[in-house]
Amino acid sequence: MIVLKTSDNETFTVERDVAERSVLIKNMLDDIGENSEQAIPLPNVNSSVLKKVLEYCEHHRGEPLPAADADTSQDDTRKRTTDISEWDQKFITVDQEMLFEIILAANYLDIKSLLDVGCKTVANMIKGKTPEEIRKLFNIVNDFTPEEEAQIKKENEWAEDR
Amino acid sequence: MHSPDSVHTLDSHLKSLRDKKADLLRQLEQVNTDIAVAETKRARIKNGNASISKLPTELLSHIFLLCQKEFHAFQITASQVCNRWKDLSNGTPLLWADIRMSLEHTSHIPSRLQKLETYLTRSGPSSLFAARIHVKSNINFSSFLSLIADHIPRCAHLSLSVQRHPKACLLLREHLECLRAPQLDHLALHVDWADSGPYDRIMGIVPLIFKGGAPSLTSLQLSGIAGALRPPISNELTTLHLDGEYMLDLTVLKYREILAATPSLVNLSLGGLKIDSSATEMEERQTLKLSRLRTLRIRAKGTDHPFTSANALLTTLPLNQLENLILCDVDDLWLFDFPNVKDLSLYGCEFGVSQIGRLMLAFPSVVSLTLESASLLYMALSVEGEPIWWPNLRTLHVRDLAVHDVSMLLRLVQERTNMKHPLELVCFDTSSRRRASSILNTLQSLTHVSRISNYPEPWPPGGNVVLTEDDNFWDIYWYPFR
Repeated sequence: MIVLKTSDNETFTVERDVAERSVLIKNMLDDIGENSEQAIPLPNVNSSVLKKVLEYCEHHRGEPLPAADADTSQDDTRKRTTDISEWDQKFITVDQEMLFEIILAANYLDIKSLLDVGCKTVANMIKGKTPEEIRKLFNIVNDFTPEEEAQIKKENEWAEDR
Repeated sequence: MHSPDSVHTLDSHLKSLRDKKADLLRQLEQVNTDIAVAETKRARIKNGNASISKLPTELLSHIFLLCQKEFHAFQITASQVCNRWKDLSNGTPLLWADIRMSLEHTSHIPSRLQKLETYLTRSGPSSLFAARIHVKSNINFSSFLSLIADHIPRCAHLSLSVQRHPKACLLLREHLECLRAPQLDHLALHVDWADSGPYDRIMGIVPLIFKGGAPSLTSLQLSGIAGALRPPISNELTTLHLDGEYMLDLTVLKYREILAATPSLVNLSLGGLKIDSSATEMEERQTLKLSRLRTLRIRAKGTDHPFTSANALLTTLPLNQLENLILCDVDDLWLFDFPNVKDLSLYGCEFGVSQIGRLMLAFPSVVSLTLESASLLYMALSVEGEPIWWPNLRTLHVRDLAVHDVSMLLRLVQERTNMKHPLELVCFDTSSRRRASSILNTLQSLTHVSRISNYPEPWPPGGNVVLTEDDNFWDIYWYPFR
């Protein structure tokens, strides 16, 4: 069993193969050796997020890990961004705050499949929306200077030709 | 009467008031500017605190690329959301590396040119790019070719299609002639035959464009009269589509020379090509060594010339290696054998009774068959007794089913089931399914029944559908595939 310590000082005891879905943790375990009992600090992940991440790792334990040097650009060309399995879709149905935290944690912990699920989910949220609808979705505002607005207007002349 | 002095005093007073007003207006303008700056600053702070702003640049950029896969102009939308998204979008070269545009009218030129320039600048300086430009009328597209030529060292995929333009070949040759395209992987050129335009009507291997070379070229499509442009044929070429409908006949030597220059060829498509040679002359020559050739698509040229049939073209090819074969408008096959063809498609092939037996023997390994109007084949494949023709046949794709073939199709499925060599899947295009409606229930009790697209399968098979270009192979068919 492996002990993980979050940024808010909570500890989680998990099985090694579950924890090793994270390349970061796997590398750390390789470095500190088999029998070390010390908790692995994860200063960039809080307990509520780690709980979700571990739920994902637990569900996908035993599945083959994507190769580290896999060229995703070709795969991505073939797959549609909507390709998220049913379980993953349900898992990632969380509020925006948590969604971005999961993406950040997956990036930090180097869990490629979870990072993909998170990024695809955001892409699906954006898909088909106008700039104004995207602003509303993510609670952001128009922050262009008048000069930038003028430039956008100019680019719109040819941008219509999609 | 007022004295001149009082008028003078008033003028002076008015000037002072006007100066004061101008000063106030200047101040107001400054305040408005300050307000705009403060509002922008405030808005950017607010945006900086939004949840999505927690994502680092590389992740947001990755998300943009995912969005773009589904909507190829997403980068335009992204650049209109907020300052950070604009900077990120404009600064992500891959988002601008897929250039698609059509030119229909002279009035489009300035804005489309600006678009092309923007895409080429933002996709640079080191990312590869793909450009698909479709010229739909007789307009001067020189400036577009010049821009592409300026960036050609980064071009990986170039597709130029020109319709109704008498000088298209001249313009293309003028701008592409001396170029070297070291990264060019896919080149598709289509030039419509236009009545009044001069063009060379002979294909050959001495290049007339990209004379500096295109050493990475693996896929080449030439259709309409584009064969006349003669791009360089690289040793690395794995996919070649040649359309000779509007070209002069190829000599045997030229035909062999072209194919001999492509030793790595896997997929070959020949549409409307004609060999100016006698059959005997063709037969006397050795089969070309194309050890990787697996896929062939061939459409015969529709004339009465005795040597225009597909046979003259087939004689030269290593047919026993083929696994996938599409024959169009071929009514007569010589004594060829295709022992390894598993996927066979026959479009508009009206084989006579005398041909059918030969055909059954020529394709012993067919697993998947696509048939477009071929009554006799339905009949032949349902003949009972030994040997069972095409014993591995499992899938049948039915296109443009004739009404009088409906009962024969049903018989075929029934007999194959009785012979213990059942079809596992029968697929119909829309019109065939409608015509077969009376037998659908019975068919479904015998096998799986499904639908297929009305447009013929993408070529080459197994390729990336997203990247598959329309190579105009099917254009001459009368029925609307799309």
